[in-house]
Amino acid sequence: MIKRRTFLKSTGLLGALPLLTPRIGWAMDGQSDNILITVFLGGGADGLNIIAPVGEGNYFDLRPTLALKAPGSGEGSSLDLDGFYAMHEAMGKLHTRFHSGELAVVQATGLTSESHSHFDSQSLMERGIASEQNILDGWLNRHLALQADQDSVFHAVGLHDSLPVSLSGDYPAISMSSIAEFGLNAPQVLELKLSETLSQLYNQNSLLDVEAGKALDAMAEMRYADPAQYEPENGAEYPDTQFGQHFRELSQLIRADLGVATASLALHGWDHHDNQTQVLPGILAELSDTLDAFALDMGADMDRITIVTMSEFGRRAWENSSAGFDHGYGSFMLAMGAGVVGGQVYGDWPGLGSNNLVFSGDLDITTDYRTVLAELLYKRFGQTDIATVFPDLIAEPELGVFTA
Amino acid sequence: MNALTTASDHFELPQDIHFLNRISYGPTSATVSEVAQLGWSATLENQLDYQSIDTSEIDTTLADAFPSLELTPAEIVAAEDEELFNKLVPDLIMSTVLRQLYSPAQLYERMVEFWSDHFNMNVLDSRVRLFKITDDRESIRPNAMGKFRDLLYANAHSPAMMLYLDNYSNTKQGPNENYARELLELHTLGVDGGYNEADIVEVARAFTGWTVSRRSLTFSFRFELHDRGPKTVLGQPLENTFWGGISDGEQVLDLLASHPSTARFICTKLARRFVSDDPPELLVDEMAETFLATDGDVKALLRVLFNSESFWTSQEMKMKRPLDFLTSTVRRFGIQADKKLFSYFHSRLKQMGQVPFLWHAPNGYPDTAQYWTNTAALVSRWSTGKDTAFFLPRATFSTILAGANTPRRIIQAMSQALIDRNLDPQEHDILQHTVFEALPPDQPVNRDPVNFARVVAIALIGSRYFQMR
Repeated sequence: MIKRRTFLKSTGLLGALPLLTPRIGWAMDGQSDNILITVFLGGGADGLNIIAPVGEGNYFDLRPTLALKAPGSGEGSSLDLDGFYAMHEAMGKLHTRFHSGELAVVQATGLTSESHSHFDSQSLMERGIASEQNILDGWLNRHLALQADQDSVFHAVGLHDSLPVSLSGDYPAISMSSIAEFGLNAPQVLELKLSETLSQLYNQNSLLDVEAGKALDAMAEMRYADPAQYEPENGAEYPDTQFGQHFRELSQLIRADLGVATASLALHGWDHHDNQTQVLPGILAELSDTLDAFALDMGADMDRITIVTMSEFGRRAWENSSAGFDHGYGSFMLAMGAGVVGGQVYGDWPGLGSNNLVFSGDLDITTDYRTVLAELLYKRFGQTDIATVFPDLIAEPELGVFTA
Repeated sequence: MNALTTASDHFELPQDIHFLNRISYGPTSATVSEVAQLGWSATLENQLDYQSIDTSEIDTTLADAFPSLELTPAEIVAAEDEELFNKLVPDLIMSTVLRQLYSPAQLYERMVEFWSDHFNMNVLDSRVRLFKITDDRESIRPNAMGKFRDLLYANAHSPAMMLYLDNYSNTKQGPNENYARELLELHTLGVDGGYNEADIVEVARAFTGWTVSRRSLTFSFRFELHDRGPKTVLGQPLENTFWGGISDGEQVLDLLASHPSTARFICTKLARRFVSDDPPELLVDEMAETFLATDGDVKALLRVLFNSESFWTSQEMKMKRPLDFLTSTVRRFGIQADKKLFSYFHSRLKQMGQVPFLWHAPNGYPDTAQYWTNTAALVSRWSTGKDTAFFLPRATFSTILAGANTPRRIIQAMSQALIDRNLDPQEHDILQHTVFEALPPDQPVNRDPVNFARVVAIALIGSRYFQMR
């Protein structure tokens, strides 16, 4: 397939495109309509107080002041999932979607690296490897590169100030911090003149030229498609936070038919070394309300959209003296939307007994996070070359979180 | 993936400009003449001897505009003034950027920024907010050109850091590892510096009892919270003195400050900031040797760095971070920032993701092109360039044009003023055609030349040349 940018250049359409022609529709078939959204929970989210194992007594012993209250034990009780696990009460909306079968949880999952460093762990996780090696591109980028030619400059989008490492690599991905700010905001004649000038000035092959080319293409597409015109539907209300607004704008990009196939977002602020009860409910509500609003907004389109969350590690099983938790190991993942076999908590439970804990008292990992992602890529996105996407993944039986 | 600089080599950047790009927040007409007159070597010595530089003008301006900068946490609390409390962060951000823009002690401000990144704390944390101004004034600034060991000591005793990384509540009864881990990983040895999880536990124990006094809001060591048991860090048992107390943490700091891994880690970061994203091993080796011989003397390290061949062959190998992009624009045009303009800059820095002190994690703002080169960043730069060119008064451009009124001479005048060279003929033609369309290169324009100059300026500020330093 001819590269879109090459085509636009050869026809001289690049600058003038929005005035002349609608976005050219490229052939799509079956799974190529599916959309993958990844959410990175940066800082090390405490899976044990988000998806709490209230059926295990050790949980309450290890966390005498900070354990969630068992379901049905009065005000502030956690929300029952399956009799053993319970969800934090701040996630009421996701709890509803769990029981309606749209949301699945994987517990005791994560990155199987000994590193308890945020930066090392996030970097490894985004590159899809378990130990340091000379692989610099992101797992999502490798997945995309193995698939068909790019059919839209919006095919892979990071809604972020910078491009997430998971999306970085040879496959062209763009980053966008907001729709309104993604343009010169100049009168059209000047905007076209400047776009044309910049397009010609960035005519080499460096990283800067490549990024400039994508930025100019994306600006041209947006001038035509005007995604900002789309209002949330079905009464969806997004939290007025950066994360909430990123999802709102993602819905606009999807609705404007710009060809979004993969999007990465991040919610930072999970590093709760102290006073967890003051901060965890707020950020969980932000996560829950945002995902709920997005699903509501997208309506029927959710039958082709799958969202998956991950965090670089969980937190220590026992609480510290600052009413928080130090860096741990196993954590949780959420999967929501198309193809998700919801209403279940997946993954073997390793237990919280002193013999079960690892490192300085951390929840063990029984499912490599990449096993979950591999199943998702294979079943929903036709990815058969998992060994390239996750080079050092040791094959584990799939959990059955997804259907094709 | 880092092949950033295939920039056309037709027209070289003058070495003086390269030097100013790195030691300052962008060349100005004054600093360009200064280097031309003194030479770079004498200029460097002047900049290193920062205490001899007359900064009274900017100091007075800031002291008048931001009285909060002189307050201690106890005074701020005693004032019981919510408005004052809410001004702490904006005042710190504004004064920091104003110093970067206008202080003659430019290299010193660059080092202040370097260490503020290195010992990053996010001031959106409301507890940190109360203490960061003091940290900036008493921990970072006095030591920014001093010895690493002193910086590390100051930082370890800084209430702001203690609150940010939770050491304030690290006790014998309930250790908190947050500070210990980042001390090893981010402040000293580096993640591959040769420590393990057990070392983190031991270092955390060594710092138990280091906290912030609730009464004075200053550092305090509380013996009763300190774990007095024997400790081994990096295979070395700590000396158990009679009091067993505060010297545990101090011994750890000494051990770390003089560790070869620390020397390499700090020198690599310095060379990354001032030379290139992947600095040559040879340079790092040489700097690390100096580090170990001088207790990490910043001036000595910078002398090695700026005298190295690696430095002088690294022209335009650094991608400007958003802050560099803005400051270099302002300094280039000689813009005097007022409140309104500053609030515009602030909104732009926010959009581009680099408001000082607001990075969300303890590792500080990234320092490689890989992070800052992306579509969102470029579009922001282009629109900022457009706003700036239209915002500037007519006189700014007529001064630069100095009578130039043909397409060729307008492009040349703007290129010399903004990117210190002529564009190569091909690029020159691109501007000629897109900005002046059918006008012959040497025919005077039939409208105000300033209108054309503004559009040329937007293109140049948006070009590759202006993104690099």
